[in-house]
Amino acid sequence: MYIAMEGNSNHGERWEAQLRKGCLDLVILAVLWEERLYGLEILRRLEQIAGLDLAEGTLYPILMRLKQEGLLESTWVEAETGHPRKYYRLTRVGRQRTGKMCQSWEEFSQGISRLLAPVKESDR
Amino acid sequence: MIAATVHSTDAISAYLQRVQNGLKQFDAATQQEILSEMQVHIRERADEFEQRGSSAPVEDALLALGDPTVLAQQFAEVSVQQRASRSFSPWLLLRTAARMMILGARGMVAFFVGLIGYSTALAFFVGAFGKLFYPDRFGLWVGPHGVAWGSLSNLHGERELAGGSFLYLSLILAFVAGSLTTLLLRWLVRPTGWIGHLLRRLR
Repeated sequence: MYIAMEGNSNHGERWEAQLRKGCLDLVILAVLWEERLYGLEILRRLEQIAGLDLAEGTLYPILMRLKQEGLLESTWVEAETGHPRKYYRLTRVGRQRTGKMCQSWEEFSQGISRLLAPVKESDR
Repeated sequence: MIAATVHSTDAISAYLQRVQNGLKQFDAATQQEILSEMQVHIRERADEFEQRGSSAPVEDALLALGDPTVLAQQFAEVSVQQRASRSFSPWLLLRTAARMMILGARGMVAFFVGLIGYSTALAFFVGAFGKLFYPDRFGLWVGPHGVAWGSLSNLHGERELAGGSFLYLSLILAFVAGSLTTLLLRWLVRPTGWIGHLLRRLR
């Protein structure tokens, strides 16, 4: 029984992790929609706005990939703290892509919400 | 105080050295940029930990950033796709396409284009070698059942059309099939190609 419960718990955590992983590109692009940000700032915003506690080491390779795909561009800026910071911002292609991803997300989440409505109803 | 600062600097240097060890596939400028960004991150995180009253802020910052080997591997994964798009190696291109398969339709198309294209090239190449060693069995055949390319074990009225030029024809076709597949795969695996954009739109 214990093993089965542990298995279910692990499955739940794995599913949630997969779900979060699948959204990483979108949330990183979305957090850069309004202004340029540097790595640590992106992590903080994701945590504050979306409650996403992203592993720090995961962020930078994703930023690098998004930059290679032409969705982001970066510049080093001297900061008051003394450490120069690498700021990221969306490119024109990146803005278009984020808009489309946002639209896809809306359609997807609305569909899933409709599907989950009876489950939520019976849970009450 | 000075001893603690030196210790912290050593810890950061050791961490960054381990990251750099896993970044060999990047050019020096890219390696430096990655390491600079990591260094700034570590220092700013250490400042945060210090403000929160941590007794070992640098160690806490390094722990939060994770295992340096794993971090370097994650960067290396990103570089594989970029290297493949510049490579002419069928093995690297096919391996990259296989990895991309889990990302969606684009990867699937790339992998199957590679598999079919390189198999075709290999078949032409084998045909050319076959003609060299078994000239009577390999050829371009025409007979009552239509046209056939390659080896026929039992002849039923088929006639060989290409003769000795079958060998050269097969080599040319192998080269053309291999080259076209390589070029197409390079387009498909590159991060920003028009086919990539097109496929992303269709997905």
